[in-house]
Amino acid sequence: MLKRIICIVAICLGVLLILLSAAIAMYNIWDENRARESVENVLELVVQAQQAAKNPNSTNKIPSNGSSADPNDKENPPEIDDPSFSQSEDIVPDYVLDPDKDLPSVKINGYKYVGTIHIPVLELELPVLESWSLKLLKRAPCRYLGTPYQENMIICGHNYSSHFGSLKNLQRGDSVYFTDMDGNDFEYIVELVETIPGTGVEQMQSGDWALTLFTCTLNSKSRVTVRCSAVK
Amino acid sequence: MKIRIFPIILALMLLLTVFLPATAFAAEEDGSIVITFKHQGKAISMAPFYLYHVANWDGDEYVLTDEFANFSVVLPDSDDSAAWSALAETLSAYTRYGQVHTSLAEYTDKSGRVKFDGLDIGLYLVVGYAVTEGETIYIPQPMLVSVPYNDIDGEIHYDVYTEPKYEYRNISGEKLERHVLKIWEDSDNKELRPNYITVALLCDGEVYDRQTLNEDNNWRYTWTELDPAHEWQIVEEVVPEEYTVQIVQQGVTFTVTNTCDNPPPPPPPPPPTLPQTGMLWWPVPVLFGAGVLLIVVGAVLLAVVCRRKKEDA
Repeated sequence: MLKRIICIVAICLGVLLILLSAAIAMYNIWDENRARESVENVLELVVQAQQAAKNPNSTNKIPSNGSSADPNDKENPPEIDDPSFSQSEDIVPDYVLDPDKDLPSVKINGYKYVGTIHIPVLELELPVLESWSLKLLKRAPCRYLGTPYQENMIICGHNYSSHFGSLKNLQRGDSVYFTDMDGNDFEYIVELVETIPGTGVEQMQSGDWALTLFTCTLNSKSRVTVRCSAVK
Repeated sequence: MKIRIFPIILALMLLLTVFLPATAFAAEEDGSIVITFKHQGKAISMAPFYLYHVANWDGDEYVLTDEFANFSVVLPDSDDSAAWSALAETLSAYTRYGQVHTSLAEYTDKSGRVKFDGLDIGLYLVVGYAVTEGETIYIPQPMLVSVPYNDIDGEIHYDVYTEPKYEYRNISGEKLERHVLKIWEDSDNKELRPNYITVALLCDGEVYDRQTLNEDNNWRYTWTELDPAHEWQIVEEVVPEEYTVQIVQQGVTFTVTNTCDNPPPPPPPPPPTLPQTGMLWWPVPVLFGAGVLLIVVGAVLLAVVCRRKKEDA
């Protein structure tokens, strides 16, 4: 009688485990869809905010005095003691005036976004949140640290297929674009795709990379890491 | 309307680049500053100019006068002409804001000339107010002038001649935009910063609007639709303790830089980790496999038990 009960318990336990695996799979599929909807819903609002910031009032105008004050020239920002430079109506991007500034953020639906990342070869365009937490990562990719102005930005994303799940498919030479909330565009080229252990914090921050993207490998033990250089 | 800029700067504009040795001049001598304000050779008359005695020469360096000692500004290194220009711009805005007064005020004459004489030795701030002639407004830029000064040949001059750099535009042209951007120079020690600061937009020296800058608005603000017939400036109404202020206009943007010398180190960041960015897929095949295994084993064993029981019966 006891052997029979043990057998029945084993069968029931087996059924339970299969149901549990099915439940986890269904949750993952639901979570995947939720994550896709999450970025789709907010992407349009973030892009609208970027376009509003890039309206004609803040479009870079050509200096009216013909000086060398090119607002996009990060290497040679206009000098205030330049005799040919005066208080004209030129619009110089804030990050040129203050390269150490943090990324400007815009609060949308209660969350602060700092821009969008666009990877044409993966057909990905995603909003980027200001800072990261496990909760925020479920909504959209997050800024891990750095800024595009200092060319040291790191962005992390969940490995949902609609987020950074396809990062591993990037190859050297692929283009990546980041647009901040002021509408300033930054272009990058993929230089290296590597795998870093999940404990490799220093390794992640090492190197002189203008942009780094990372996400978990399938087993979640390591991080697929994409290193990019800035296109000048 | 296309805004035209005709920047003029003469060699005398930044006299401070030629610094004075301690024994270079006789302290008992008076000096003078002669300003000539012209646009393309044509004199601009009836332009008001104000002179402020900003600092005295103590033999080694300039020391702010009592009127300016309370300002949260620093006198830059002698050879940093950009910093001197920025200081002139900053102090000019605060004089317009009414924080300091002077009795030295004159209008330019028919030849566009104004003379301040009987001046003590020291450092002077020249502030010209905007003047409109016909459809054009002329806005002189402030400057700091040393009395006396050394020319490039080392000769000392007690009578200083200068022409201000200036901006001009059509008063019925396009509306203007002015943008203010707060910059913190404090080794990124956010603990030191106030939660907000307030800036005032001055229209011809009068407060036109006030705005609070904080993290929520990324420490910046933009005014639009401003009348081009006026001069627009910015002041930070209360400079945070431990900080100095510098206000500089570049294009439409005023940068308001608060600098803290020797800030304490910011608190250490929390121990860094790499976030978990993976989905929980690995348990699915493991649980499924274990479940199938248990069912198969249980079913086989049950079949064996049942057969034995049947055989025993």
